Amino acid sequence: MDNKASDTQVSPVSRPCASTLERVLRDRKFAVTAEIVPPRVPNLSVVGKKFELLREVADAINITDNASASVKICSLAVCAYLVQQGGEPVFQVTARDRNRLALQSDLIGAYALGVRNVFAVTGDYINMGDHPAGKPVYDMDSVHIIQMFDKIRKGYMDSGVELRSTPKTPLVQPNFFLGAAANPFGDPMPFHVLKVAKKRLAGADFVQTQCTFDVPRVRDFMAMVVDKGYHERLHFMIGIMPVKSARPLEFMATEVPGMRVPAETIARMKGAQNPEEEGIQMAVETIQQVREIPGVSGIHLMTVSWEAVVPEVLKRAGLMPEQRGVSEIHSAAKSGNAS
Amino acid sequence: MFFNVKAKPWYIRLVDIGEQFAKVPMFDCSMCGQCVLRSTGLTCPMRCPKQMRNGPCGGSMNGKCEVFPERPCIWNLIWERSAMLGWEEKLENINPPVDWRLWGTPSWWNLLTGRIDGKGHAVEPKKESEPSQTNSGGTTT
Repeated sequence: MDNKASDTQVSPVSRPCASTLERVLRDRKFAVTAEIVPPRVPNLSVVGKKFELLREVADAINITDNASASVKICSLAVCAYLVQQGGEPVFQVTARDRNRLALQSDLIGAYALGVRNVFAVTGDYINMGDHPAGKPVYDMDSVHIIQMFDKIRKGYMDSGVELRSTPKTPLVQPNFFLGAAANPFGDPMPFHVLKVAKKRLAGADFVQTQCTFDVPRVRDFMAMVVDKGYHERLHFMIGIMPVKSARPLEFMATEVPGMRVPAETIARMKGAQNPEEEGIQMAVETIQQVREIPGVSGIHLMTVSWEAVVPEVLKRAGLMPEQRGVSEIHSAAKSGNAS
Repeated sequence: MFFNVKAKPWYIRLVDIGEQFAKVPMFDCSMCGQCVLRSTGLTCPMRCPKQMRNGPCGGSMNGKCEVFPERPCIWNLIWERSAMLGWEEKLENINPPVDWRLWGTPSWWNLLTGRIDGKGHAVEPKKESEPSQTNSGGTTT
């Protein structure tokens, strides 16, 4: 507990590779993840269609957990469905809706169902969603969840209870890839970098960031990260969001906390002849710029409900699996040889 | 929710009243029973709506809270005050999750009885000893 977050000596990762996403990142290939927001209607056919669009191009697909504090099909159910379909989900968990018992039981449940990537966040506050009167849980914060999940990887529950069925059976050490969030646009920036360092100390393996419209800010953030050497243990994936029109940009600039949208970006979208085309072009340009930033190992595409655009954006950005050199890893995963 | 902690012996109540008198007006104290003020720039992190104990959430911008934009971000205040006091290094330690068994009890008493350590981090009570003060529900599994 006395370890300092900024210590440069952090023990190297000794566990075997847990997932396709981890394989891609460990092999120093440029990683691409996408995102599916589960529907509210209890029917997974929509998810199936979205998954078909993404399965060939993305290394893994994040499944959001009651995003924006609005009720959707639970993340775990959709993750299990993707595993059945032969996909690779990233199970997102928030501290808003679960106490430490639920967090742990959902994690080991997800593992039992074949989920191998987990992404832990504190979560939007409950008053932003459709049930503002509900009781938010926040038994733990994101750093605690990561610490607890890392302990589970070593075979122990948060309380110290061992993961084994009887005292004589061997300790079970579920091996999964553990992710955390970061926001380069939050203030004060050095504190957000320190928080990433705390998450690294807690045991995180990869980081996915808030979506980027302000590239210079990401550049500054990553410069601080690289300066401290945090990128050596953590894989940084920068969030990218293609938009169809200026409206969501204006909404994000004013209503969504923790996002920075420069006025010129909004003006550019407003003045566009073909906003959809402009949105794709803007996402591609952002990708090309963040790719050049030292310490960046991948991108995370958040499309809200415009999954159809992902292949097009990746094609134009030169990030199709064969261009990134990950086709072999994908096919190895399909034949059941992930590690 | 935590009404069972209201049943306290008179001497703990005395400490409780003293601590509330000192901390509630000055720090907006929630009586979490595991005070970390000395490592958070004398600013209580439990004022954060998400009760984060390890730094700002992703919505902290321009020094404002994402949940209640009219309020300051507590972690931004902690950052500024720690810098003012020269306590930046203390922010590098991970504060453990809240031990909810201590909620509503006085930190001073808990420190005295060894239920929390000098940093305000909860110490697991010894199993064989008599359950000390307040509610000890949940110590056994």
